[in-house]
Amino acid sequence: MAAVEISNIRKSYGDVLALSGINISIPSGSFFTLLGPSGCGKTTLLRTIAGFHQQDSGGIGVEGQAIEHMPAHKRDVGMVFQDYAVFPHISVYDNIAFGLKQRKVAKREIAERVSKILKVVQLTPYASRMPHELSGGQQQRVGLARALVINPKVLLMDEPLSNLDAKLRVDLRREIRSIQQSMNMTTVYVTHDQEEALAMSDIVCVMYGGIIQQAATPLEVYNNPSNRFVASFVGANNFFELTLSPSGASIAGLSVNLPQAAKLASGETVVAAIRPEYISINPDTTTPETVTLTAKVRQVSFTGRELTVAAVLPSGEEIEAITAPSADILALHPDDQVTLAFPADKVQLYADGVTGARLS
Amino acid sequence: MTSLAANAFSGKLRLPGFWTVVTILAVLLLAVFLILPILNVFAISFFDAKSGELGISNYIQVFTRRYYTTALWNTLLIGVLGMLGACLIGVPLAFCTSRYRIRGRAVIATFAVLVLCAPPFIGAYAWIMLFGSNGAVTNFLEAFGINVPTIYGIPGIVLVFSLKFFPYIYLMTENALNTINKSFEDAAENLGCTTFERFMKVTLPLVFPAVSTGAIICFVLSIADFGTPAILGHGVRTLSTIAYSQYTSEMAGTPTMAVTISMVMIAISMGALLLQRRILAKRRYAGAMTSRPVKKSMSRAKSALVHGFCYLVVFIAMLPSFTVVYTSFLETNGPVFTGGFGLDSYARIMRDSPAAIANSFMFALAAVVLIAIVSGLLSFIVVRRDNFVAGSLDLLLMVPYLIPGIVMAIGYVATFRHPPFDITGTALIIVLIVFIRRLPYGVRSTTSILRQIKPSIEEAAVNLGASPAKTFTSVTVPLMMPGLIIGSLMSFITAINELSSTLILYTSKTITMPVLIYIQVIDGEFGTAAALSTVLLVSTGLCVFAVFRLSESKESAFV
Repeated sequence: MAAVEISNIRKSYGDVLALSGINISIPSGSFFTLLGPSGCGKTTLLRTIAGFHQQDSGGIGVEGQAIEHMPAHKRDVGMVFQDYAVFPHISVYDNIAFGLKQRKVAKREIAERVSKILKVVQLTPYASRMPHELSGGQQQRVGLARALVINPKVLLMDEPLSNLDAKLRVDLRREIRSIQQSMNMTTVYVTHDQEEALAMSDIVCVMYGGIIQQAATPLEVYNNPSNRFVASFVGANNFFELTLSPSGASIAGLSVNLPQAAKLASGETVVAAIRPEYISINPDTTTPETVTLTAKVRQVSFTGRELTVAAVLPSGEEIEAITAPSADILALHPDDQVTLAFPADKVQLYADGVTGARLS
Repeated sequence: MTSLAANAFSGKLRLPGFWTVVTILAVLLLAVFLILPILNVFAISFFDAKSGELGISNYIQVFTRRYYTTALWNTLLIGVLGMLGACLIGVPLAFCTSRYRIRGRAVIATFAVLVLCAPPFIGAYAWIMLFGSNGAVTNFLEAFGINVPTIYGIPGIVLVFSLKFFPYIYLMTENALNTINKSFEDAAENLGCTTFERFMKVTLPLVFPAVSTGAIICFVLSIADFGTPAILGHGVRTLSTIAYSQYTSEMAGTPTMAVTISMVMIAISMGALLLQRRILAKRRYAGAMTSRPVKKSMSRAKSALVHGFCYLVVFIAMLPSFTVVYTSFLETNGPVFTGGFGLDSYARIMRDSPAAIANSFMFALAAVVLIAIVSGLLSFIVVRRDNFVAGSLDLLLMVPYLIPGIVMAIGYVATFRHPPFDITGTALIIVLIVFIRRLPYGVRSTTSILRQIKPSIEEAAVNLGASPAKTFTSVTVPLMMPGLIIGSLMSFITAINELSSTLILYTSKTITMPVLIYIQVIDGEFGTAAALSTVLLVSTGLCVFAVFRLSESKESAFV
């Protein structure tokens, strides 16, 4: 049985449709991430599950119980907030014990459960501290412990790492994932950081314009985006116009051999996408299965592990390639002519428009 | 099982939530104690004073009869001149303290706040003691054959208002000047402005919203003030003094003309406020605080001049308070000062009027307790609840600022004199009117602190299982406490100094210190009036001190 079952949720603010036709089924114990740009509806959906927003229509079930009309304080779902929301006027211990006291748990059991969860989030020495004596990362651990200690049916996390600095973010995300796995806690996680989503999740659910674009495993979302929005939002990607004529397909005036374009009607507007890591620069050999384009270098930037080459096609479209660092490529100057090559089967085709459908 | 659970929480069976109940109660409270009295005043004004017929005959009288038109004209003149006077003192003072290094800036700010909080009528009668026809300064100068211009009439009233209300302009403008990004002024200079051009073209427009907000407060307070024109007027009538005298002469019947005049006063205040809002609507400046203004040091001569100006201004403004305290320690024989020093006046107020002192403290405390409770709940509705009622409550809480005390009191008498709800002549009616008139001070303080508390903290409590009511008491109230305390202190200051509404509502049993002071000043009993005023000044001063200790924003908490 799915731990969380969301059916046909719809939510609007006046004329603005914030969520529409949301159907999600989250298996018990899995880490489910809502990913999307700001304004896509991911936080609205999370807060609707928590009961802070009332949906216009639709149902929310948690472990078989319908909760969509319950007041927020009776839903028994734990929540971790973006700005920590640690109560500033009580100690770390009292913060964590807050939910247990509301549930009228016996004093001795509270002490046991709090000290156990303090150990899990590695805050045992800080139990009697006040929140203002803690760093941001420590405060967020308090927030996490406070939500976990009540044994919620589902844990909701609203961009919990976005206020932390980059290094701490990576450390804490590993920790959250391992705690979640060891407790087998069904989790709904909201983020706009696609790397974070890919690294932590069992299922990534990409949202845009209040609609679910794709929900699948991280690998599937990256390798097999269901539409152009997912292809552009998850990972870096290059897009250019593919011209279809009776004589064949062409990009920026150069004819290309793309078997996947064969079935498409001539005259249709089609967008071709290739990830930057598949593009090689000035390769020694090419095969018939390779697409080659010529472009003008705009900028070469070295970031340590890799090199990014930004170039412009004759059509004016921009293209970016990521390669291993090499002296030859580093020596390129702006306006140098280069040959860009990539395997034809890595090219994916989409219909025109922000959420254009996958055509290949 | 799913359908069962869904039924249990379906819309029909749900009880109204905690905040829905509180909102309904708040609306009822404001409807009965704020809206109803005002509507009553409004309604009475449309029934002819003599015949009782429905119509606008009363308004025609107010706008045509000389008695009323002179008062109307005087009121507007005093309001505008008092406002301009306050600007002429407040803006330069703010500029000096924010742009130059002033020694003892804290002293200047503290004096400004004390001037603001001192009972308004003290100024009027202290100036009489100094510059009146038998004043100390007048007599001193006349000994040398110098004639002092009269303090009575419009010039005197305007002088008192300018010196009394300039702190609003000063504190607001100084705060605005301190938060202007210095880069704007640097850019103006870089683009070729002289210092004076820069001030006129960049600095002044940027602080205009603050100056105009302060100015509008001065205007509204000037036209509503009763004590000053009543004491200093000497034949110069204003709308508030004729409203009062009409009310007292109409005591037996319906105070129709007093009420009509009151409506005109409200209309003027509202007109002024709307005008200012309209002007301000087009001026919204996004400001990024990247570089704070720096304070310049000055040449020795300039420094002496600037310091001299700043200290002179606050000294003159504090002069009435100093005079009052000094006078309270003079020996008197009846209304006559004998020349020596002593505690005679204090002995007399302890003997003759302990009730007034006790009443003042009790009424103010009771009102403040009510204010603290109601403002805590109201500010939560205003800040956290996003609905039509919350929006209108916010607007409604502006109303007490605009309604002169006399008007509100007449409304209370008209509304609450019918059995079984007849509460006229009781302590309750005074506590209630002071409560409703000073409620906005409390709400403003709690609202501003609540806006700083992140809603997610309350959501976290709800998420962990605390009901809305429990969340409010266990999380919101403790976090709101500093604002609640400061708001209570500020409403206490204004509550204990309340004169204009209590003067209409008091009886011999419910007399308060400000009312007694007013009566004694009219009777020429300056000694005991001074002793009572000193008691008020000291309690006010203690509250100001407490706010300074508790509030991070110090003097700007008062405007």
